Amino acid sequence: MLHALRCYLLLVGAQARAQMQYRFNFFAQVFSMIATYMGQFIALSWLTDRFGSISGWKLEEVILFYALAILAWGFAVSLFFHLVSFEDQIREGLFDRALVRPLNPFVQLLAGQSPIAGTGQLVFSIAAFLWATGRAGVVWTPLKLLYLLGVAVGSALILGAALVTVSALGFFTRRTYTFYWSLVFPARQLVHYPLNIYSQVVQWLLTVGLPFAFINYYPAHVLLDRAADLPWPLLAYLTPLVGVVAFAAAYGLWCLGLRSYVGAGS
Amino acid sequence: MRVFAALVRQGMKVMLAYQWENYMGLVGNFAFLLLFSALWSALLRGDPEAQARMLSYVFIGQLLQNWTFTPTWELAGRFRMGDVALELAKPLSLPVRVLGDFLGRNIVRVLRALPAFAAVGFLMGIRLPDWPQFGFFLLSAGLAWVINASLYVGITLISLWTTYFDQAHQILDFLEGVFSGFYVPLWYMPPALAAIATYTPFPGMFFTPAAIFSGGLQGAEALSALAVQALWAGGSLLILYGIWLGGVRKMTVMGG
Amino acid sequence: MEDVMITVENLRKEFKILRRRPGFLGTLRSLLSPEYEVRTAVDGISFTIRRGELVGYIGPNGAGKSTTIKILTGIMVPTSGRVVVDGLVPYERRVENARRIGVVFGQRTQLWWDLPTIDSFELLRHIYRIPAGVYKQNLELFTDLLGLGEFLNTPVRQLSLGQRMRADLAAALLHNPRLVYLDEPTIGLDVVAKERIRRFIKEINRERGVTIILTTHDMQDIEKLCERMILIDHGRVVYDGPVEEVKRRFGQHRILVVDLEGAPEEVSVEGAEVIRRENGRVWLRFNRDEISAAQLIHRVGQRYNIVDLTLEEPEIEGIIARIYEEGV
Ligand SMILES: Nc1ncnc2c1ncn2[C@@H]1O[C@H](COP(=O)(O)OP(=O)(O)OP(=O)(O)O)[C@@H](O)[C@H]1O
Ligand SMILES: [Mg+2]
Repeated sequence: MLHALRCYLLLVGAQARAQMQYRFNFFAQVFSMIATYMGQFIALSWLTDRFGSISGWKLEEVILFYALAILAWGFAVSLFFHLVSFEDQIREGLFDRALVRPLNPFVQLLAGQSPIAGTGQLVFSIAAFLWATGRAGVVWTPLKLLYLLGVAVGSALILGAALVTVSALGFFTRRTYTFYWSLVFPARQLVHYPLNIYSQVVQWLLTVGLPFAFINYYPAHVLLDRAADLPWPLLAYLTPLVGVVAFAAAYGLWCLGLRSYVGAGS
Repeated sequence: MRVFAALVRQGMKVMLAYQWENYMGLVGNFAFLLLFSALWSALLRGDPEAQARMLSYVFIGQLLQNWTFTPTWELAGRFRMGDVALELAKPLSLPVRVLGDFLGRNIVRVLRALPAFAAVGFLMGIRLPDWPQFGFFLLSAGLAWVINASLYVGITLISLWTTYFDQAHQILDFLEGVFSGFYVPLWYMPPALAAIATYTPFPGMFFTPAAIFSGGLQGAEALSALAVQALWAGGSLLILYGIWLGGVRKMTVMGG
Repeated sequence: MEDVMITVENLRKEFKILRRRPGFLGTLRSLLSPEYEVRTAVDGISFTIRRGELVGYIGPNGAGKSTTIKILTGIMVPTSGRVVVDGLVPYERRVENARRIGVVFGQRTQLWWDLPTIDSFELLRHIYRIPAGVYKQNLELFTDLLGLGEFLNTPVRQLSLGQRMRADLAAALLHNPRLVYLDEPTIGLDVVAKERIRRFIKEINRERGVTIILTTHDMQDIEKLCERMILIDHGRVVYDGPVEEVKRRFGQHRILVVDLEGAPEEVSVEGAEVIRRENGRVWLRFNRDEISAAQLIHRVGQRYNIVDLTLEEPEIEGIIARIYEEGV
């Protein structure tokens, strides 16, 4: 366990050094993030200008949903986004290298990217988050900061679990991009809007099935001091737990996938 | 023209070779359909007429996503691998080949998506437009394809000149996202902006066909929107051609 | 048996390939009732390898060499059969097995592409938990034997193929494995580079007693390195034994090359087959069990005027080529 952690850090450090050799375009990344999210921000502001609110949420509050989602995504991208391209590794036989080394291949896969690849995203995410919480009038207390830390870790794990699942499906189907773009990506968009615009079934799905509601919708209630509005206020405090459970489950699926991959032959 | 038809057929064949991956794309379509229909139902509560129109709008919008799908990153990837010189060596110009390929693939995408969309549309109670209006819609969808494909292929060809084509691509994505009506149709934009947007190519990429289908643009309004769209379709082709010629000159004179 | 390193019994590996049906209904049917095509890559292979042996594992493209190696390294589970490597079943105890073996896949590197060569070695030191003393000693030795010094600080992507292969070999041996699999370690190298790698392999095998399984398409590798070779074709063993023996067993054919005066229109000699002609020069293949070289020269001399002649010994290269083409 300790050995695995040590190796993970060493390998990530090596990736960082490797990536440094290429001109790392921090600003291009920030630019791309701004281009991606600004369009949605603008569209959202038009809607709230016109309609006042969305299912009882003011613009500032919906922006907070956005910002929490972007914050979590910033962390997840830094740690896990390379899992989406796992199909390339399988196809080119690169993953086999991990299997002939005495270190858990999952650790080797996770260590395939360094967080500096996502620094632009992360900086943008944090800036957007600070701006949004300012606009939404979030009153910060030490307790809320601690809570935010838990939410950030839990959310990153929830999104990480989704990406690990994508790579696990790669073992069975030899495809990963398609699962990201047609499942995870749309699901991420769904929680950019307040959950209560959806039917009960969808709300349930985003709570129990693909638990992205724990990334922003439930936690935003606490930050806005509205946890009491939830049918079950405890939901707002479950993000870290859900993150750990989801990640463990995804890891389980990944191990099953590995078994099938080794069994079928690559 | 015969050559172009052959290219289209080739694109269709490529698309048919892929199998279940394509149906995965439908899952994404329906997730977005879920999102937008829930959003507009919430926003337009109390106005059933507007609600029905928006449902129809977002429904056809997702089908149009299959029609105007332009995987230009494949092209960019080929350029990155240094195949540009090879592309220049071929007798048929690159834009023509790419457009033919995309058209073939898009036809297959739409045909493939149709049964599922028909079923979902029936369940959602989507109203179909009457015949003349449907004809306008088909025409508009065709023009939307031309604008989309030309602009996106054109933007990708900018990579022949500069390494900043990624950024150019993102700016186009951004403008399209804001002004094409994908998130917010022109009806619900701030009126001043909507008035300006009308004369840009962006509504022609999405809003015009979707609005005609949903009955939001009719009669003279529809005809004038179609006219603007047609002008931009021509304009986009010219832009594409210009970028290509410039790129070729740069490549051959300066050696890339 | 203490001195057995690898036991392979009746090893089989079948690949199931999903047969895809065209069209929407076809896809649906493929999902509901998938139809597979079975391709047998390894079809009942058995052999044992003793500790310290250096064995050539050869066969034509698609014979099943890489598949066998993948099973032996634990990357793949066989369809049936028994495999024991150094007392372990590799695919059941993959990690433990990985600690004891070294692997070089000549087609792709094990090193970190964008980092200086030395960094890869450092990372492997931690992954394999190599004691500092062992690491230092090995690094010095390999640097010396393989001449790594000149490019230790160069990123791997900038190395020439020969340099990269040397670095890969060193990387596979840093942790003192008892067993090393080399899958085409000389692929694409020039003569000098090949020679250097062969010397190193030989040295490691002799001095350290490392067991080595070598696959290659270069018969010189086999002749210069291996005493024993296992020849497979279509997933079956067609020959397993000393390299020299192959020549005796399959190399009964020798070739007599004669230059005949006046370039006769038609040449035929009883007991030999004309396999090539160039003006007056004729290549005659004969079976040495049926006729001796002296007899054949005599027969040719009776009918034609011989200007000059040479006798070609069977080369392993040619023998193997004939086995590939014609079967045993
Ligand atoms: N993952 C796979 N799926 C299906 N068939 C496979 C797979 N891997 C190998 N095969 C098939 O198994 C057979 C043996 O392949 P293998 O790679 O073991 O050959 P080889 O002896 O290493 O050949 P080469 O000399 O070309 O490297 C081939 O027919 C190959 O097509
Ligand atoms: Mg092979």
